[in-house]
Amino acid sequence: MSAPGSEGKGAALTAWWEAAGEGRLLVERCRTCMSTQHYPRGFCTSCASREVEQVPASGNATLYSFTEIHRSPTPAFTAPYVIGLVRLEEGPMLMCRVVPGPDGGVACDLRGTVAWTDIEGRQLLRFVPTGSPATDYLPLLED
Amino acid sequence: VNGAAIVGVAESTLGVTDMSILDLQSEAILRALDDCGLGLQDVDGLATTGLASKFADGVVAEYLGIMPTWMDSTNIGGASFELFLARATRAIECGDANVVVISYGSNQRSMRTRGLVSAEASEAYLPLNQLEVPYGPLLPISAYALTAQRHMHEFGTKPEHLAEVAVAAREWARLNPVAYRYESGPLTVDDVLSSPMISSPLRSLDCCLVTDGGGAVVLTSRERAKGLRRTPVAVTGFGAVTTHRSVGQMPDLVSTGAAISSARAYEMAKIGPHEIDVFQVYDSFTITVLLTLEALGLCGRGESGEFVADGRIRPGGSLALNTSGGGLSYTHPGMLGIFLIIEAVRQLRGEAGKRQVSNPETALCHGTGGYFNTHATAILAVDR
Repeated sequence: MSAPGSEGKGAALTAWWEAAGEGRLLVERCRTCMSTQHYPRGFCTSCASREVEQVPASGNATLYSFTEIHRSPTPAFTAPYVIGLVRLEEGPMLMCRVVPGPDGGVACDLRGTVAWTDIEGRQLLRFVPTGSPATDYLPLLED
Repeated sequence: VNGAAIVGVAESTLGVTDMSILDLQSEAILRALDDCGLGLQDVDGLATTGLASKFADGVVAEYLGIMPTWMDSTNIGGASFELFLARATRAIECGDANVVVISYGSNQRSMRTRGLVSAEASEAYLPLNQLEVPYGPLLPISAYALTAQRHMHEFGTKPEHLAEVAVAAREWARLNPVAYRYESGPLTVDDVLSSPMISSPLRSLDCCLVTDGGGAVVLTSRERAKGLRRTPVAVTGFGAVTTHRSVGQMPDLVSTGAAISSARAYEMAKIGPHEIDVFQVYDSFTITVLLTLEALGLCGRGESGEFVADGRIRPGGSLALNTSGGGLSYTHPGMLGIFLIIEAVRQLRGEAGKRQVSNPETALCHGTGGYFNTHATAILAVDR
């Protein structure tokens, strides 16, 4: 697993991707006002302080919303699959792949964990609901 | 008399045209100038943007053979044209321009490019490209789908409520001879719910059309407008806001910046939402309409599903909304914003034929760009 090349990504995001390459998920925290943000900018969007640092996220998260995609944007993606927005317990929101929960379904406000994984050769964040037996995505809806 | 008024409006040929972007756009501009009786030699301001080209103002000015001394080619997606109304009004008020043309054209349907193709896709610095595109969202649909899913979860909004927006749009389009779906027959809620799922909960009939089309709007001072052919339509209020770019950075998935842009517009026009006769709001997707109705203050937060469920937004209902048939059933050549203005003006002039609302005096146009990224609201009034 390797992070995408850093060319032109910006200093803060390059550091974030380097950690991702080691399987670590970071969020950016402000030492001045203690706000936590994602994505990292190198300054705080709450108080404009440059005293920020990237710290590990626990991975604990809640699924805020999701969508099952039946028509992929390019042939590189094999539909169907589910993407979602999860809120990390540290506060920030981020996009990830989603696998079904214990009952085989996906619903808003499911709790679970988000971690880096390799999906079809891409390094992606994946949200796994608590108690989910699933390691791969199964279609939710018949169409 | 201070301020600016819309004096000419026109569409180009719409649908599947096999015309170029500039053919569509110049056809619309010449028709809009004919509408008010002005000529190209009168035009000293040009506001235009598009999908295909940088220097959109230069491309269009050159094609028309004019040299405008005031120009704007800001691209904030489908909201650009409501923003141009605000900018043009200010320019005319302060004397920077006398006659402004706002224009748009796209041959997206003939060229078979649904996506808003741009260099943006290859720009690595964009957080959107690093943090969201790799997950395979079908943009823009998936961004809107995420808002719809959350709205359904939080407020009990049903797929049937989303479908009602598409059904109402079709009913209006069946009254509009230039609408793409004019002769397509009625649509039922079941038709929408049985159409192919694209990005849940949005199905293909929750999504706008892909068509060709151009449009143009001509503005001048309210003073000069009095001597022209048509009933002038004054621009009485406007507001805009940009809130984010990536959908994951949207401050709240179920409330949009339309609340901010419309609040400014209402204040300027000294009018409230319940006093306005006609609404033309961007309907890229059915959920776009529901969230916008709430943000404009026509119903409460979370109430939009139930609000539309009684047929209120169909022809004959109590809310005259998207009377052209909108992006869902009339036309959607990549960006709808200019067509919202054209339809509002036609309604205010009493020129809307079978779909004419009874004696409207005021209208609101609301443009939405990107993934609820940018919002621009404009309020119009018959200027007698």
